[in-house]
Amino acid sequence: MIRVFAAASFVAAGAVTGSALASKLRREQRICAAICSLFSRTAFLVGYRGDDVYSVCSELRRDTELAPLTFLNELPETYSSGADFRDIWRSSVTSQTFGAEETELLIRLGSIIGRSDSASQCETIDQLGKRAAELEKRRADTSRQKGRLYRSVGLLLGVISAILVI
Amino acid sequence: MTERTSLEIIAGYLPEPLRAAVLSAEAAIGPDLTELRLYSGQPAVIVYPGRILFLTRCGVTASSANTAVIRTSFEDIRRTIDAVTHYSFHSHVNEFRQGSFIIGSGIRAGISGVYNQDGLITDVTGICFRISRSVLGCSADLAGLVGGGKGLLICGGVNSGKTTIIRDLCCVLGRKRKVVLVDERNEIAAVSDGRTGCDVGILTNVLTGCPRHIGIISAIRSLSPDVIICDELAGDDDVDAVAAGAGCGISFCASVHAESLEALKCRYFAERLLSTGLFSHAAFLAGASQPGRIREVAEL
Repeated sequence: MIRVFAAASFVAAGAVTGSALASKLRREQRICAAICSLFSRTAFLVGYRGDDVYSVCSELRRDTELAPLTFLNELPETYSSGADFRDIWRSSVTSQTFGAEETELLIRLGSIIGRSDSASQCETIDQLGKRAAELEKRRADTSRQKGRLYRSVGLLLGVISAILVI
Repeated sequence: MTERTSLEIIAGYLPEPLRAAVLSAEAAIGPDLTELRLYSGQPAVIVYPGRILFLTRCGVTASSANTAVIRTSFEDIRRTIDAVTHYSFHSHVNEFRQGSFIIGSGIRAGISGVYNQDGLITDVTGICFRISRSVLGCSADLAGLVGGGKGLLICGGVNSGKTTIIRDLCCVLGRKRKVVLVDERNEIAAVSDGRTGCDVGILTNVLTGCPRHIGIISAIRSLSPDVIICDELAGDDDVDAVAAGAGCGISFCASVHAESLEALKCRYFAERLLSTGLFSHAAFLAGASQPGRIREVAEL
């Protein structure tokens, strides 16, 4: 009876581990999709509305589509004496557990936002957006391929362990 | 909550250690300063009417050779501009074109530097924070000269207080008559976040951010003013716009760079301006040592 219970636990653990690894990949893909939205939304706010960076942050924080980008909640919505906006952006991004490429894209956005006229910024944001779109496609492919693999291997290892226990 | 002084407001935009130096020297600087000037690689300067001092780590000094003077680096200037523009160059393109920002409570930040091919100052090498003065009642003797289609020119040199007089006239006239203030560079009303930084009268409409002549025409067409007040008439476009108000019963009040009646008549647009018949008097100011003081009023 104990062996059967242990075997079932191993199967369940294998399935859960595989599923967790697969959902981590899906999360990375969702973050990438949110970064793509962040770029297009920022380009609109800067290029069309001419908002300053604090108004941009305020608008971005309210956008539910960008909810996976929790670093936005750490950005200031008003000017505060002695607080360098770009330093805050950088530290907010690096405090998160994004992938290296996502982090680099977000830090790049923080370094160019507000630095030049609207047209130049939109052009750079557009280029960053293209890179983000490519990255999202890669993450989606990885999630589809490796996600299935992780789930299958996790379950398989669980079953093998169960057989060995029995 | 206590109201922040002009110096504290300016200090809020300065990087360390400049901010700490300004705040610790606030008592020594006193309330009479008119400007705080920062130059790349040079000492920070405190300007008073008729005298200049230099900021040190613990106060002020009259000598720029004092080893304790605080020198402003190019990086300090860049960080100050970042703060003044709220890290948003794109939201302040007009200000970079005009070379002047409003940072609240009527404080203006003028900048110098290199104009790029689009007519914007990009590499900023100097910042001049100017504290606007509201001297209540300084135009009391002039308000009666404006009305019934007759107008007034406020004439003076640089820093003579033309803007201070104009602001007070707005305030006085704007209590009783419909006034439109055409404030091209936002120096008089200091509009920020939809609010005027200075009292310009309850019946005063403010038009800012547009070329002066366009503002004057717009005011005549759409705001039915009794009085139009504007700063620094300086060219044919402005004279044409003022002339458009002739026969409409509108009185004009404007400032002009000129230290005397002779100097006024030497300005290339003066003849056309005076021939409109819209200005019956010119008030000449005393000068930079006595800002806002009227030296004489001449009939035109």
